[in-house]
Amino acid sequence: MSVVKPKTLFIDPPTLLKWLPLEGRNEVIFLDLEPDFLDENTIRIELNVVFRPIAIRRGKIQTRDYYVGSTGAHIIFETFSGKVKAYTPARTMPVNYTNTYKRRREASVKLAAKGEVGAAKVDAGEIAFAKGAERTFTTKFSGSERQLADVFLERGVEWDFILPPGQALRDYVFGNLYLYVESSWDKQPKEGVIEVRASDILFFDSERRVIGNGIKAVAMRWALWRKRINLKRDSIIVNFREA
Amino acid sequence: MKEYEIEIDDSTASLLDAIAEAEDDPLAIAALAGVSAEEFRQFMTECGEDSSEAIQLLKAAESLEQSKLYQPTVHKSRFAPELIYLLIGGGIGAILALLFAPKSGKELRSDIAGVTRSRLNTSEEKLVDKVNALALEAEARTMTADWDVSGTGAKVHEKEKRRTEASGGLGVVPKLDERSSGDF
Repeated sequence: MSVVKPKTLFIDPPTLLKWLPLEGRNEVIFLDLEPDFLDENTIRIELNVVFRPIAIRRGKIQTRDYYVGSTGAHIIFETFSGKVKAYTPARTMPVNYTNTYKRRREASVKLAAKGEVGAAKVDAGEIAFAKGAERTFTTKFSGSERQLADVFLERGVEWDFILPPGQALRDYVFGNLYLYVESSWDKQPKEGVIEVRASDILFFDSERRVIGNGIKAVAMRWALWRKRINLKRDSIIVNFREA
Repeated sequence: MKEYEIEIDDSTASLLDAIAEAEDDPLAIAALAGVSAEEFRQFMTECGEDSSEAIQLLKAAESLEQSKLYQPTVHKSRFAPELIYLLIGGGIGAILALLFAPKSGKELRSDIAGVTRSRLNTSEEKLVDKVNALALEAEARTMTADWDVSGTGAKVHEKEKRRTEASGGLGVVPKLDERSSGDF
């Protein structure tokens, strides 16, 4: 009986949510992922885009709070010399959307961190996913209706997770969005890049109503930045590569 | 996922409130937030902010600086410490006044009213006395004047009598007492 050695996928830099220390989670959007090898040439990756507003509180006496959050995101998946075979299609997601799907893993895979996040030391332990295990992926978020639009690029795919056009009501997304993509490579190495960027960073009141326009939001972030509170709007960019 | 919280101080909260309630005008917001172009570029780099809104705010800050309408926050707040010291001084003074005041405000007001009333009464009495004295003096002077007038009349009569008799005159001049007061 031969023992199948688990495959390993390196992630660089290790900025996935599972590896971020609690004090480093001052962003409104995060990325997590789970890879699976369907065959020798094909990798399926479940992307988990996590939206989480940040509460800005002014002490314990006054209760008027602000929330910083995003109304959507732009996600890019791109292979280096590979081809995308399947991915989550465009869809409309109604208010407080929930969707669950299950799948059984085809292979054992280890997710390993590579590199460092700036000067911060991350808990970059390996994460193992066992073959045959049944996994449940639930997309669930609170908020008004959203649309998922996709653009197929053959070597990659892009998604826009946005409010429907013409919708005046703007609220932040609180929850997570699962996307999958299956891509194959004819030659080694199997590698690519994933980028997630919040569509915007806006300020909301305690009832999730947006405050003013984007200029006000930037000015308010500027005011916080001068107090050394840094609410970044950087893209999350991770490279993946089969070991 | 657990909610992430950031706690801010009162001054930052007030600034956020002011920006939130300001007009949707880049110039007004840039002035209110005290945006300086140089610092704002650093903010954009550090926070990965390259949105059109951030660029609008940057241009507004540059425009304000060029038009000299903009006063950096440092200069704007130059008087703030002095004002604070003034208010603190005033507060300390008020507290000391309360601590060292011998009487309460109500008692003090009552005392002032009493003294004023007694002074007014004294003045009134003095005024009445003065008026009475003047009236007496005036009466006395009137009487003296009457005496003087009578004496002058007798002298004139005597002089005229001598002059008439010396000139071999017209008869005997009547005595002063024989004339009516209306002829004089």
